Amino acid sequence: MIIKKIIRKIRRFFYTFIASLGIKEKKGPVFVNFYSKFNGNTYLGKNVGFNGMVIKGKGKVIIGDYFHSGQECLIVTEYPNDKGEIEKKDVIIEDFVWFGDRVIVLGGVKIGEGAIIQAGSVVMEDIPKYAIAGGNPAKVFKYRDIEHFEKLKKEGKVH
Amino acid sequence: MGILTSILNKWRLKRAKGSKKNLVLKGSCYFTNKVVLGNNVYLEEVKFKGQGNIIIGNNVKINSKTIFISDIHNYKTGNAIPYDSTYIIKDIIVEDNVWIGDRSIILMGVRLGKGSIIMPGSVVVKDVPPKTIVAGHPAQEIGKVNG
Repeated sequence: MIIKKIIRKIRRFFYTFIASLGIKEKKGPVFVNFYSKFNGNTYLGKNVGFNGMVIKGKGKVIIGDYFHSGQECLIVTEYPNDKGEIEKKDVIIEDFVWFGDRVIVLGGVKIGEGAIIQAGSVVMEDIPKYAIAGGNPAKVFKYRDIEHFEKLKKEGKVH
Repeated sequence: MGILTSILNKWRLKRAKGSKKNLVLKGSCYFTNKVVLGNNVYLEEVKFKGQGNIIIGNNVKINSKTIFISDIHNYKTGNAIPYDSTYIIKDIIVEDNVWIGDRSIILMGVRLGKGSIIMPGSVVVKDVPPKTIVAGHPAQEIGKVNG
């Protein structure tokens, strides 16, 4: 068990270094456990954790505080349009958002505070606050307990 | 590399329970100690995750890069946001003669009925009845298996 812990620490140190090359601005510590690569135009909040997130294209990506992600996630910020030019689209992810495994987010999307995205989803449209969304394309099927969420937020109980 | 993966697979397979007769492993597979495998199971780069029981029946074929997720962080009643350190745990049951296509995801609390087929790239979020073909995310019925 001790060997496992040491391996995990080394892995985290190594992948955090690789990921930090692509971060433009950050407010606090960043935890990266698996291979992650950012595009050099990424703005991170405080206490964000990644378990494998690749950001492609040169669009601006803003990620809020206390974001957590699963494995093999992908954010795409560049598309060719019908004239053959490359179009950049920004992605905004607010505070307390949580992604499952293999989530894909397309450019021009805004994900609201406290949202949860189910594993394997493809997010193509804006997701409202406190929503739990899933599917391809991702649709809202449930909401969080908003009172509970606001109460914990006021008390400052965060993960 | 092939030899190294097979050694690692053998080591990881010790955690799994069940008969494990005629088991075929390809690529690197990951097991938890709550996994139960039946006879004639074929696994290709499959990841079993979470603390819930995952029970695989006989003559099951699971293709590459499929993930089984048997728990999620507690986001409902926990004492931290977006989630706390506790988990919501539910079991996954795969019955006999099921085929699961590549890159699928099976979420917790799901039961795959006898002889059902999961098309590649699906995400299964609810129970699948026996002899049914499902596809998409969320996985929906697209047909029945003959015979």
